[in-house]
Amino acid sequence: MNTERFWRLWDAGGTRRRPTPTIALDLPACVPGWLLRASAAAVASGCGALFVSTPIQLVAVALAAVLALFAPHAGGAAALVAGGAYLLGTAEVAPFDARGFVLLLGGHLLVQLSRIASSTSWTGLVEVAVLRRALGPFLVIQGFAQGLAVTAALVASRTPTATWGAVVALLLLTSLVWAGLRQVRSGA
Amino acid sequence: MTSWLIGVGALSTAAVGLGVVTFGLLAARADVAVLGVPLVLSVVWGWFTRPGHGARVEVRHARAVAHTGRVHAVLTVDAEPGTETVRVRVTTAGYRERQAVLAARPGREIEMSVETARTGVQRLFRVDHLTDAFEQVASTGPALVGPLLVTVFPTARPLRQLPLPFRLQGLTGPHTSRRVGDGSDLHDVHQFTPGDRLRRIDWRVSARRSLDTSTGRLGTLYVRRTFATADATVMIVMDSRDDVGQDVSTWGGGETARRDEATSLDLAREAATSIARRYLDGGDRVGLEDLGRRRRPVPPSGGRRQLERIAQRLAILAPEGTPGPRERAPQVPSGALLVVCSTFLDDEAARIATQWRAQGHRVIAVDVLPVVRTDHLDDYQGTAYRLVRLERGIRLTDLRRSGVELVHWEGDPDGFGSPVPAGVDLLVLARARQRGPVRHR
Repeated sequence: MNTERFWRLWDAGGTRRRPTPTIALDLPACVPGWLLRASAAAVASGCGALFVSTPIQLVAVALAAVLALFAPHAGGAAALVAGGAYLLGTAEVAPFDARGFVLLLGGHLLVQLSRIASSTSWTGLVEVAVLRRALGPFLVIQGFAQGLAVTAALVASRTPTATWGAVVALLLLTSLVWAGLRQVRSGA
Repeated sequence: MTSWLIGVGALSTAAVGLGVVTFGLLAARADVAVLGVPLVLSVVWGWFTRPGHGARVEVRHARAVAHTGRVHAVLTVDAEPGTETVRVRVTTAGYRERQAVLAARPGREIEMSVETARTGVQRLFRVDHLTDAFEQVASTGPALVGPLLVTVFPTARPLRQLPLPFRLQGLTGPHTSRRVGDGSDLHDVHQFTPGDRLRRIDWRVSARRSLDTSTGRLGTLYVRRTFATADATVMIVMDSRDDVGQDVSTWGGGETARRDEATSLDLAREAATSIARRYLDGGDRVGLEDLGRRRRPVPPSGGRRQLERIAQRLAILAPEGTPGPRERAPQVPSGALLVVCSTFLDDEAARIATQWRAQGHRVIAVDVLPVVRTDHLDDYQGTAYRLVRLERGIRLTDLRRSGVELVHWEGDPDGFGSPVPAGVDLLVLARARQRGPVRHR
């Protein structure tokens, strides 16, 4: 390689090739793929941070966030939830700790975000309508799961006021099941 | 019939969810078991709401005629209730692909577009698509629609006045010929001869010149003769043997020219369309010949249909193989003006133009080389390009010397061009009616 060519390679002020033109799609409001991946990574980090107590666990949580960022997959996210469940089950915490409820929400959210993010590339677009449409079933299922957890917590506490609370929670669960079934029937 | 495939992601999610529930129950930890409930329920929800059929995806033309600039197409997504999303990937050679996750609903239409400076028949908008049920419990396998065959026509540049052939043909037309005939421009006043029309007798001149005052009678009658009118016959000659872009590093064929930059063939199409339109609008007759293909030329004719015929023929021009050199210049109508659109990167087009000029035709060479870019050439490519450029410069000088008039469509593409726009050059040529070879200054 001659000297001139060598220095030309290092010439930061030299002309660069313009980026290749892009195909335009006339879509309504959209979210870029990288934002969904970043959100999934943030949720993974946040949920993992609740249970980190050793450096190894910290590394594991960081790896989980990296996985959610670069290789999002619903099954992989579910495996992370399983890991969180294991940590929760083996941690020295009382049953129905507040962190459990946060993990319940975060885990479900992580799976949903990873599923949608895995559908497209970093630069791909996801219509807001897709997210909006997924929100309804997400809220119903999440509400049902949270209600189930509250009911179980109230039943487990065995106090008279808690029993009435459990009844109310069961009623709420029943209404959620009814709403869910209606949505399933209308969807099918 | 659409075949649905069970999603691996959904299956694994359900399996992990069941595992978490089981683990929680075995460990007598309800707070752990409940973590798996949303995962299982989501998949169950998706399974019961899965649709019967996948989405129907089509690509169609947005407009009947496409011109350079933005070319549009319409993506139609027709999905039945229960289908959650349609994943699409739109690709076109020379463009960055676009991926999108669309909300599926019946009768959706999405407009797609690309910015292009290229003309002719192009394959655009290949769409790979995949339909998902809720939670990706089930998906149709990837399918393909398109690409669309889009004929992109060049946008004609407005031209004011164009040169005419040395000899005009026909008995009628928009131009004044040198022959005596039924025009409006005065040629001369001449003695009445048999065959002259009575209405052409100029009584004033006759009275002034031949009135015998002694007898009071006219001797000789005089008529006003006018120039005849005629139309011009123009043959546009395309050189479709090569198609080079602005970036010289793509000339070798290893890389493709950018789609948002016009190549020499695109400029040739633009020049030919602009010139043909101007002549046809003026009432002249225009034909089309191609040096790259041995096929029948479009014979000279007039009218709007002829412009469409020429535009269609121009659109399908493309370099094909390596055509051998022609022994003789193609036969063209006598007295026709010849407009040769070429890059003049080799001798063939210049040689044929010189032959036509030697036969007495007025020949206008339109240089359609785009403004070249040499930023990304290595040393060897740079040397090769300098040689090609010098040869081209010599060739253009020889063309001028032989009497061929030269117009650079893109001004000054490589240092041998003209600083003024092509329209001005053509206007100057239109004003200067010359015969024989011009002297080289």
